[in-house]
Amino acid sequence: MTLFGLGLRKPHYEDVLSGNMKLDFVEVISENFMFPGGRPLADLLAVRAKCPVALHGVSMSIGSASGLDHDYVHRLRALVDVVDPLFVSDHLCWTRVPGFSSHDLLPLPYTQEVLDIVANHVHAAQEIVGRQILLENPSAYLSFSQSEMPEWEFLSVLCEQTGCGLLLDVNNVYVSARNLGFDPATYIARFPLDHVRQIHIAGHSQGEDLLIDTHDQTVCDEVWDLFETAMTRAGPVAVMIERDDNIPPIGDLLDELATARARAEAATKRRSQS
Amino acid sequence: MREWLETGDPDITNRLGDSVRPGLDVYLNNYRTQLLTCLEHAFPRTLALLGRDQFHTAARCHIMAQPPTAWTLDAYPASFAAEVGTLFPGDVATHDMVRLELALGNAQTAADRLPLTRAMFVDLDWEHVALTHASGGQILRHFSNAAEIWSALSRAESPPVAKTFQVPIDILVWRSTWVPCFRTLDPDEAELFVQMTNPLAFTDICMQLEQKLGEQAALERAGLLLARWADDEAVSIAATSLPSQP
Repeated sequence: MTLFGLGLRKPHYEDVLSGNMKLDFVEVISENFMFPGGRPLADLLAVRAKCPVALHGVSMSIGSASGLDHDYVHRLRALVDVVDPLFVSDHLCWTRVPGFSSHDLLPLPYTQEVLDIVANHVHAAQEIVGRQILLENPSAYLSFSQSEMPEWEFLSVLCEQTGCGLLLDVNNVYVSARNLGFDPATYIARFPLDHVRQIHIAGHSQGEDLLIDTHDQTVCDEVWDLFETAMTRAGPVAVMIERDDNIPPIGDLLDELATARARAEAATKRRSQS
Repeated sequence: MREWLETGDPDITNRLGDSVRPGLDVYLNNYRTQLLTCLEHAFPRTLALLGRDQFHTAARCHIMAQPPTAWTLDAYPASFAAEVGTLFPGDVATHDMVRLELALGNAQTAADRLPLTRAMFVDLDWEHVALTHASGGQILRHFSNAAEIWSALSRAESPPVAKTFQVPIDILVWRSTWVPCFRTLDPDEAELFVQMTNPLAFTDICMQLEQKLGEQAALERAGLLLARWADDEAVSIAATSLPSQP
């Protein structure tokens, strides 16, 4: 069964708590709630009482050559114990090393050496968190000449080795493809969709030279088409609209979610016809 | 990549070639914008007090000198607050303002503590009650009228001219229900709140007041302080025992 939800941000808490929205789940940024107390956590628990919550992190830094931050993962585990989330996810990237935190999703070279490092960290993180984690394909603004395999292959091997799942961000595929010059349809065709548990759909902006993954615009037609293609091969997944800036009224996001449902239905028909 | 983000040194892009320059620029812009936005959100009244240009100059200077190290961006404002004395030497009001906003921000997500309320007064065995700060409780010693400036700015009024005090004042910051707040403390109250960083027995509070004021005045003062703290939700019960049953 396909679930449909929204990335929940501050302006929409009241809407979700007071309304009767047709949301199968919401997703929140884990780090915004990894604190001892206060209103954010209380609000999250109120939301959790209404619908399932997925935890999406940005600071696990699974690709750090300096090792996994166990203190961070234990904090995440504490939040997982309180929320009992639908999924726990983060990104295939590195964000920090001791003495420096970029607070950004920085790219990794896709080599066997990096694969071994990431696989070890995924094993350790899943052990501490006590459940499967999902990793998201990041948006990229540069690639490494040292890479030995494409991103989809790296993720596929990682899933086989660790038992982790994947969060496919369709907009990230499109942004990376445009920025790095590969074909997004080929990427989707070769992506290990059998490991995908969750899908992000979002908008982006045109920067001076590159597309920027800003999450501040509506979803473009090309991304919708990629999503529909992915859904022809995906198993049961949780699909959501991710909006982080220039946040519109929740009705606008629910309209986009209705488009996602329609595209998913269209994909189901295409699958049954083929 | 780390060196690029910390310095933006063009020699690094020259070494790597022109093809990666647009991508590196995106990461550099993301990094700097995110930190600047973080500081703007953490110190809105300081920004208003200094003006956008002066605040941004200081923030950019700090970002270049002091990269974040923690997993959470919420930890970054503390490093700016620690450096503000260097960024604005002799500007006491800005120094006090930054520390006030930092404390208010920290109170936002401090551990939840059940506040003492008037409804609890009757059932407590005051011989065995110990009090401590409420959620996010912190005492700040101010040498300026920064708190007054903060309040005026928060009401969108023209702030008073910054003044330096000969005698400092003590400010209590805490979270009442979900809202961070602050107020100036009386000197005897400030002494007690400093001690309440660790649990302080109510009987000790009474004894200290009695030594200063005498028995009758101490009783009245203890009652007044307790009522004020309960109305403000400014203290929590750290330890207690129920009255013994007859």
